[in-house]
Amino acid sequence: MPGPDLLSSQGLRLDGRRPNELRRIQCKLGVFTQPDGSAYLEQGNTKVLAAVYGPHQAAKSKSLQDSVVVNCQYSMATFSTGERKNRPRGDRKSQEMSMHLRQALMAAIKTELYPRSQIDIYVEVLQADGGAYCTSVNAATLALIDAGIPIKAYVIACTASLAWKDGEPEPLVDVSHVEEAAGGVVLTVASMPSTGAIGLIEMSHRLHMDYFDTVLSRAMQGCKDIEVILDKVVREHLAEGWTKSDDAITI
Amino acid sequence: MAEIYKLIHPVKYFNDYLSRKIRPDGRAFHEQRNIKLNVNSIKAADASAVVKCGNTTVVCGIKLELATPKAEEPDVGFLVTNVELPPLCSSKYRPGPPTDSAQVTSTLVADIIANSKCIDLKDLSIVHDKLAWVLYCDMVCIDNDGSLVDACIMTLMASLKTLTLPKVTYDPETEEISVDTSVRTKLNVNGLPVATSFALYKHEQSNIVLADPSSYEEEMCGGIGANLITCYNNGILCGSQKFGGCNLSIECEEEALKIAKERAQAVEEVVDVCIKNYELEINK
Repeated sequence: MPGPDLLSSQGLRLDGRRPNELRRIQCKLGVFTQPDGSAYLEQGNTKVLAAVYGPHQAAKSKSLQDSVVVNCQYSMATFSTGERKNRPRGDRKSQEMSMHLRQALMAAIKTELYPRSQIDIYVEVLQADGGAYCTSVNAATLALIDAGIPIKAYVIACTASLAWKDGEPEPLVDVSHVEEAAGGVVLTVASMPSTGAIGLIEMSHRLHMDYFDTVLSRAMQGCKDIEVILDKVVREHLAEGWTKSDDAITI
Repeated sequence: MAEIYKLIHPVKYFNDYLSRKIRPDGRAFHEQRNIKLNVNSIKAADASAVVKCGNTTVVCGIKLELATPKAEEPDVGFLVTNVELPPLCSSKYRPGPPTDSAQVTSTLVADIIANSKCIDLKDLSIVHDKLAWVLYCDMVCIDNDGSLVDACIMTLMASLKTLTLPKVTYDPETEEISVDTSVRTKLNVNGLPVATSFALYKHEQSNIVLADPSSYEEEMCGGIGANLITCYNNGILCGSQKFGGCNLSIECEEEALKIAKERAQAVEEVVDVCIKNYELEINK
């Protein structure tokens, strides 16, 4: 079952990365003033904004007695993809993405702490170059941390694919758009790397059972690597915040 | 303490500031907020710009498409503008279909662009009655802190000024269209329309004009629609709107027009410098 040619003879990928190499990650917390928490995240050319409002009082019809209602909306700017999108949200794919986002984040949020309340998580994809869902999950996690909402652990999502080199299987981490479009398998995992729990798993195309574990472990390793990077940014952001607001505490 | 005062006596809080000739965010009445502009930051779009006026942030992306022109206007292309206010940008918006204010802003921006005549739609025609460009200009507000129209127009104009159209050849016999992206021509942009918003507030028998209002000031002065929006292109007035809110006196109007004219020059400079820097960078 040799897949499309995703690796060069030197063992490098189409964009020049090694098989276990992530794309460059750049992020910033607290980018906006209006929401309670916000984050901007870039993974390679995929650029995502996330904002969190709440927890605030939930609408009567929606509110739950014992846990918080998490409301997610995933939206893609019409200019984010190669072809112009006609509807930024509300289409089937966005609806599905919103649902998956909610499922992954619900696994981490300590929902029992805010009964009869609601948390709104809005994600806007400004540019999509593969792995838009993963970047959205990671950005939403950062926004939740910025909003100060208690979570059990970082929820990190990462993709992995499978390529062939000299007849040997070689899993690829953090799949870009060209690799996605080439038609290989894409495995998406949303997990909490520090606890080892998997919140969501999704696979497109077919894959032989024998190779599933190698691809999954590569995706999980990707999650762990991303967590290290994000954790560093969060710590730096918090350290900055403490020194700045020191003189502001007067009461 | 000030926060509590603001919650208990919202109007008195605002009046106290105004009577001391200063606004709650420390600006003078006619002072603008800082402008930050960046062009071509989104590579997936054919042209794009991000603008930040104070906290108000708008991203504009332009996508090009080909279409057949309308039968009654065979020499005219299309410029489609759309302003989006996703719930991300402010706690006032809920998920769902576009709100009224988003639709009003959309039409306002489209009107200003059409009235200022900055783009000749005939430039977008490729082959008479057969082929024309469609410019889909989508503006997404990612942080709404007042004076939304100003930011939308600025980011739209900056994107249009950096837009290049690829060469298209059309074979009338086979009706085959071929696009050569390596040969690109700049879009002709006539001038640079600049919109300026003002909030008007009646304070102790006198009318106060607040330039470049924040969303808090807009709310105190009667909501988003109550803004006076004036637009200049090349020193020529090309639009002035005010829907509802506080009454507008002639003196206020004159005062506002003077400020708007000055601001138009300042904004023009910002856009020109930004585009010049960008062009220097790509030609390096």
